[in-house]
This record gives sequence, C-alpha cells and structure tokens, in this order.
Amino acid sequence: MGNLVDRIIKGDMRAFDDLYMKYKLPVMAILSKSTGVKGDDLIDLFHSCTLALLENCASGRIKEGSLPDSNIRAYLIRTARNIFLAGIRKKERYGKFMLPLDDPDYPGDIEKQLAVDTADPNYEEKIEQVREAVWNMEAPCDELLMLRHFEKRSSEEIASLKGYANGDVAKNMVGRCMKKLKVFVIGKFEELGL
Amino acid sequence: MRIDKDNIEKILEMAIRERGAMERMEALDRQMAAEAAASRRRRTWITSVAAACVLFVACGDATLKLHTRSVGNGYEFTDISRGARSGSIEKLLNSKEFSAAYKEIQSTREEIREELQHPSYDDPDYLSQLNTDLQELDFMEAIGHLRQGKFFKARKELKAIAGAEGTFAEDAESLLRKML
Repeated sequence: MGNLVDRIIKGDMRAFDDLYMKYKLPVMAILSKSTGVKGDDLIDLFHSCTLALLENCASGRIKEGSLPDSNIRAYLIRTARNIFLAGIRKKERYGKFMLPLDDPDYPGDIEKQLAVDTADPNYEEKIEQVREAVWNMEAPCDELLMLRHFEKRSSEEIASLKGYANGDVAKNMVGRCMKKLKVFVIGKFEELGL
Repeated sequence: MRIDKDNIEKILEMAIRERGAMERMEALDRQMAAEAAASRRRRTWITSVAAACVLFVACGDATLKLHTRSVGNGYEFTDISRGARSGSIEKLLNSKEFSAAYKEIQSTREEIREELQHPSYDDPDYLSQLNTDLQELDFMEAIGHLRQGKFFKARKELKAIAGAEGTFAEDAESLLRKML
C-alpha cells in the first residue's frame, strides 16, 4: 500500500481522499484551538494547507519517502499556521494563498512568502485571471486537463477513458487544450494591461 | 515570482490542480457531512429506543395493566381465561425468565386457538374474550422482547399490534411513539 503521501506522489487520488478524510477533523480541531478560526474560514484554512501539500507533492518538493504518515498531521498544522499568519499580515482570506505556495522556501519562511507576492506588482490580478480561466474551461478541455494534471493520467489512460483511438490522439488533444488556455490567459493579461 | 509567458504553463497546471483538488475536497466535505448526519440519525434512534426501554423498566410500565382489557366480558375468571394465566406470564417476565415466559405464551396461545375452533360456549362475549386474550399474549410477547433489549423485533411486533386495531392497539401505539 505505501504511505499516503507516496501514493499521492504516484498519482493515486484515492490516497488524497483518504488523507483528507483522515486528517480533516483532527487538524481542524487543533487549528481552531490554536488560531481561533471557526466555520467556513477554518474549512478554507484546512483546504489551503491540503492544497499546499498536494502542490508540493506535484512539484517534487516533497520527495517519495520524505513524509511518513506519522508526520502528515504535524506538516498540515505547521503549513496551516503559516498560511494563517501570512493571512493576518495581508488581512486576506486564506484562499488567496493557494497558488503563491510555489515559493521554494514555503512553508518555513513567511517573509519570503510575502516577498513572493510583491515581486510581480500584478501578481494577484494575474492569479485571479488564471483562476477564472481555469474554472470556466469548457468540455472536453476541462475534463482532459483535469485528467492529465490533477489525476496524472497517462495519455493511454486518457485515450481509454475518453474513447480516443490511441494515446497520441489524447496527447494531442490535451496539448491543444493547454495551448488554447494559455493563449486565452495571455490575451487577457494583454487586454487588461497586466 | 513574476507571472509571464515563460512560466504561465506552470501556473496554469497549478491552477488546474487547485481546481481539481477544490472540487474533490468539496465533494468529500459533502460526503462526510452526509455520513455524519446519517450517523446522528442512527444514534438518535438507538438512544430513543434505549431510553424508552429504560423508562419501561424504571416505571414498571412493561407490566402494563395486562388484565384491564381482559375483564369486562364476564369470562375473566373462567378456566380458559387468560387473565389469570397472564398473571403467571407477567411474573415470569418480571423475573426475567424470558424463555419460560415465551413458552407459556406459546402454549396458552395454542390452547386459546384450540378453544376458538371448538368453543365451550356460543356466547359472543366469550369468543370476544378469547380474541382479546390472544391479542394480550401478542402484546406481552412484544413487551418481553422490549425488556430483553430486542428493540427491532419488539418494534415490528408492536407495529403489527397497532396496525391490527385490536384491544391493545392504543397501548402499542403509545409505546411506539416513545420508541421513536
């Protein structure tokens, strides 16, 4: 079976479900006590730290075998606290910190995390445009890109799931969708003068 | 970090993962909420049934005036009358001798059925009394199961008694209300 994080790194999304269901309540209970955050904000905070873990798995920052099950809870709590502190400094909701987590020093260095956001004066606005484009993708691109980049399916698997002739066709379709999305977002940046 | 043409693809991939994870987490939240609600409903039901049972035992309510419905037809103290017999069943139930009580209920039930097929008297009141006695035995059996903690079985039996609209229907309904 392997530990949960190793399975997520390999693209096993059921491990992500297991991790989420196992740690949601205990981590939220601790965060609620230590930060005083309640209700929807608490759920947002937990979502943000889970996203950070997922993103760090996807980007290779967390390596296979480096985060055993016994350390997951502590990792999520530490990450959530950093997000919470960064949120206090910026006086924004925690959801805003989902994408900037790409900073290599994250989650240890909050100052650096804040500096990340100021490196590009239009950073926040650009992120909003990216999010809007991704959330408004149309079929079949939304499903194809989700299968490729979230579920980490191979081209052959996507072809089999979507009924394409072979993996090359699926790869081509995914590539076209990504290109379309990229052109749309860059066009938006230019249109808005970002 | 700057966002430009060189790294936009990487940012888009991150945003796609973010959307995928958000959708998945929201679905899991809904699933967890549904499971928690179902669990709460189960707990509430079991607690209510247990509370009702405790209430019975505590109040001695399970002895439930077992003779009161048997009297009134003029045959309550005849040989065949279950009024007297139910007294012994009641004692067995009170002393938690459930197997003996059920055996007694069954044998009495058979005797009454036999009597109904070949009645000693033609008096309609007598026949009515025998039917009432049968219903009383069913009711006592349900009480026995309730006191034993066999809530599902007791509930099923009480529902049948209530549905039959006989002499003990009102009592059965009252118990069912407490159980729910």
